[in-house]
Amino acid sequence: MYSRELLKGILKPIILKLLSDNSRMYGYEIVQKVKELSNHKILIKEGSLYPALHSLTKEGYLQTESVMIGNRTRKYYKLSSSGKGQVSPALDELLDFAQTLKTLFEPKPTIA
Amino acid sequence: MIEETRLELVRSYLICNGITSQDLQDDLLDHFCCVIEENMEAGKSFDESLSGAIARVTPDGPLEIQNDLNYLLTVKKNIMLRKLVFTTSYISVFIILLGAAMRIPQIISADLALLLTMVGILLFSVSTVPYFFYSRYMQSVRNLREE
Repeated sequence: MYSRELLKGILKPIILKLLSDNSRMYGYEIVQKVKELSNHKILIKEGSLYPALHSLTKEGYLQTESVMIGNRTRKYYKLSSSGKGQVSPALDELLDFAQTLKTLFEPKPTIA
Repeated sequence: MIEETRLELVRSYLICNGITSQDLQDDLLDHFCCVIEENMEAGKSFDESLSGAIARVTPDGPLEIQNDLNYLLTVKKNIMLRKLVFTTSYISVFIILLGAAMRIPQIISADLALLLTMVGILLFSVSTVPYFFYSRYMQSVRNLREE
């Protein structure tokens, strides 16, 4: 399981990517899906998830739909049109960052 | 599906522990219910499931989530406000000092020096002083909540 500090910077791209692959999702579903897709290596903390979801909504990248599930309200999150435009740049930046880390930490061949 | 009385118990827990935003309350209530239902399906009682959900969803307390949310939603606005207040404070102090510095060697008249000082004090009074007291007030509210 990765630390909370490591996950902090990549949470928003993860949310954007998940919502681009699924039309709409609610908080618990996002946590479970990330856990399943990452083979339990990425466990999103609810304390980080909801502030990120609300922040993305305020920035206009997400929209919400409220649905009554029995006697409680479930809020589904989905990408807005500007959110759809953010997915590709956010993922490109993250993948480029991962590639840079790999270059940085991979052992370099030594010259005999 | 969780019964109404149990749902109200979870809602009360969230409200009593500082979840003031209705949107966040709806999100967390649904999340708690999903975790409780998952635990109950695994054979646990409601009380055990609720304790498990509290430990899993809000290990540092719900207020921590509300505070993180407030910070994220207001950070840009607060930085802008601080820039404005600090710039205005600098300008007001500069004007007051300028008035004094130019009056002493009598480069400007006493009336003009007084006018500059008054403008500086006015600017200081409408920006720095209210911001200082507002910050102190917000700090005291935060201290009160943490007690």
